Amino acid sequence: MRLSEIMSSFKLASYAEIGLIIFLLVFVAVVLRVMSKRHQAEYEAASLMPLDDEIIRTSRLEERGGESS
Amino acid sequence: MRGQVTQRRAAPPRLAHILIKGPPMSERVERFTYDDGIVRNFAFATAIWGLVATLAGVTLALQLVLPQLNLNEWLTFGRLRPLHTNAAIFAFAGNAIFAAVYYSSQRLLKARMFSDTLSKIHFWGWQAIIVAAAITLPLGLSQSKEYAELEWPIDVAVVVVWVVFAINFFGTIAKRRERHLYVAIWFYIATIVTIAILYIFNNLVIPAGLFKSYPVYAGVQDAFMQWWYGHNAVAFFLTTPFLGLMYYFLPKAAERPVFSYKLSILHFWSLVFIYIWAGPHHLHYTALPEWASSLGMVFSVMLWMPSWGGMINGLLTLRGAWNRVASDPVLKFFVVGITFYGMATFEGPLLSVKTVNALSHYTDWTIAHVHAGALGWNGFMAFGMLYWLAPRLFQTKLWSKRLAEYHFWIGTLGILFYIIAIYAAGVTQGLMWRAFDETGRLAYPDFVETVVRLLPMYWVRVVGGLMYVAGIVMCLVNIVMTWKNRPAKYEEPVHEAPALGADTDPAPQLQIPEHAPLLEAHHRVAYFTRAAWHRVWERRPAKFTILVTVAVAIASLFEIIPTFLIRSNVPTIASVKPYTPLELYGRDIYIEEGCYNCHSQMVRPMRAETERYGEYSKAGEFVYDHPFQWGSRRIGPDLHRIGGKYPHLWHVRHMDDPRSTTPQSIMPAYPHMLTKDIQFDVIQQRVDAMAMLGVPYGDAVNQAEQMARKQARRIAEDIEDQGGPPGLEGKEITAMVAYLQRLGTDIKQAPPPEAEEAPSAATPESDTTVIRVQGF
Repeated sequence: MRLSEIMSSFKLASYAEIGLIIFLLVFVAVVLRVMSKRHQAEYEAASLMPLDDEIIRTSRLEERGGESS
Repeated sequence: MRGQVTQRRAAPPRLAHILIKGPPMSERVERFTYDDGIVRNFAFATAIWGLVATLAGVTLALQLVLPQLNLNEWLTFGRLRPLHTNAAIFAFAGNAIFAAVYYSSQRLLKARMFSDTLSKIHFWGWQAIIVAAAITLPLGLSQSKEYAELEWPIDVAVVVVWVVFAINFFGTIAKRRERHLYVAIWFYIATIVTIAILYIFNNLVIPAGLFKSYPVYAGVQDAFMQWWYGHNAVAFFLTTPFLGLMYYFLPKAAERPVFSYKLSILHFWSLVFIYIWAGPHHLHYTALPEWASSLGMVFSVMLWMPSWGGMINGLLTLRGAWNRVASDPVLKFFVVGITFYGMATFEGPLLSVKTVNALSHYTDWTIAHVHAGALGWNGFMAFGMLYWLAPRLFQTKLWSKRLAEYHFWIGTLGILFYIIAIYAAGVTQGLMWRAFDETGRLAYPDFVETVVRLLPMYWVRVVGGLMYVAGIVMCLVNIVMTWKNRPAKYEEPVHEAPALGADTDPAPQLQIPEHAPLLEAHHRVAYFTRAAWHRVWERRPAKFTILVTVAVAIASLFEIIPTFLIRSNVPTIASVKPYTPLELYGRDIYIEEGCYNCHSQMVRPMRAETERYGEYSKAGEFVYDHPFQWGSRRIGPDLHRIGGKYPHLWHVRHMDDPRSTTPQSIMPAYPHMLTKDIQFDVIQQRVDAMAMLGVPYGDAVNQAEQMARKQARRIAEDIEDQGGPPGLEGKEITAMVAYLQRLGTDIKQAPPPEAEEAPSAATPESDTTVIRVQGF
């Protein structure tokens, strides 16, 4: 028996449409959430993360603590 | 939450920390270093493989204008083209991605990579895979699915290395010291998860020997699977990781945050949700069910929105910094790269519109489109990153900023030369294919006319390609010279950040003031309406993101699996029979030589095509095609109805020297097919593998070799009868002729009676072009 015969016996065709609708609904929910004002400050802070990642407390090789390369 | 901040002002004054979650309660500060050695390795590999990939590209461009440059059987266009595409995607872009991921993730997560050993295994394993690809592809070991050509043992290695990468990456996330995951990390997560799924599913094969396999899918299903993979490989290998790169390195280089973080989040989600559906647009007007390709089209057009959102987000990040673009080659590369992202993502949906696709498909338009994306977007983003990284990785000044500027200009001009010429070539050829004269006949019935017309533009492409290669040489020189100026010992800065423990960052609690119990109900309502329950989720962003990404990937599988496995989508045709053992062997040679790189096997249902090639292709004709051979570009004519069109001898002469039958042909010559012996001993194994996949092989399961020998003898006799060279029996050419003469002919047969005879029993008197070998 071919794999396709087994699969077709499950009658999965409608799953594609159901999947599509779920995708769309989740996406709309995500858009609404992202656009809401509530997270404004959080996003502003997050956007600074790449600029915030090079704070070097100790810069000399010799001063390195336990963690090594 | 922000109320709490004021209470605990003692923490380090880092804005990101304060606004997102307040300072951690634990003051346990940890010291750590970043592993930049691995980034240096990946950066070098990026530049070196970039050179290899583009040199292969220039070689191919030259072979198209000077076919005699197809020097021998290992260096023909059909075998080198997969080498070029795989090198560009997996070697050049791949190493650039890894350099970006390893550099930025450590910093965004404030943690050294999970395991230095895994990093090393990842790096060397990946380079070994690339070398294996560079050896096996010219040898003709190929699965023939575009960008998935590597044979199964290498596929296994790819999966193993990818899993190593995934463990290393997610391990780093697990031990991070930054609660919030920056959007670049999201893009990386999507890349890792999705590529793993795509790659595994598209490469499910049944081995027939150490370096030979057949995919479990056939015909339409295989095509659907392949382009679901092919399209999403572009999405999740060439788009999302490079967007992650952009969202990290662009703010770095511009020294300002991304224009809109909100937009970048929307960008992410819309790519994840929409991109995955768009694959079928590669198969318009093919035997794919109409609804599937329409769905692909609609979703492709929807992709305009996030793509342009992303481009605008990138370009607006430079607001107020445009003056620096003039003096900084890094920003120049980024600006042009992002612009090409916008152009390519505008054009992609355009090409997915059926009416446009009817013209563009199988022409150079597609080639121009992908090169605008690969050279402009992927290439320039990678170069921008390399120039930004070089001084930091090698802890010295960039050797020559001026050389980087030259690289930028010669690279940009090279891209423009390339794509303008090839756009023109694509539209020219597309219009010539469909042109009719006033009598209603094809204006250019001879396919080669439409090829010869393109050659001047192909020469321009060679020039553009050489310019781009020159730029990469400059980049490589610059990086090597910068590396030479490195300090005797790299300084390894030690960073400090508080640890993130489960106890250090509790979820927001329902706080009820002790002195006001009456307000409890109010507080409960407020707790709920403030969506605090959701914030609990957000505090586990790793789990949140990973789960959502996995859900998306599984959901897309759910959408795709039924579509390609439901039998009713492919109406069967009674007269369509499996290939004979010899034809199957011939088909394997066709795959080995990479014929699909230049010839489609898919006549679309349009008058211009049916006039030129014959009856349009039906889905049911491909049910035994493991793998499908529809192709994606017609540098030569479609071959689906080639069977019976010419006598055997024509094929023999054409393979030996294409210019002897078609003087202006640019096809490589395959004289070795007339001298190389068929390996009859492997045929049984291959037939058995096909039988395992459900191909009804009947008697051939036991006597494939004898059947093949008989058929080969008969074809050799026919060739001799037609005045061809003697002694071809047992040579590869007989298998090739057997396959080509069979192509697309089944549908012309009446459903066969109960004749179960071996090919040798066919009528002996026909020495003409009629196909006498029709299976069993």
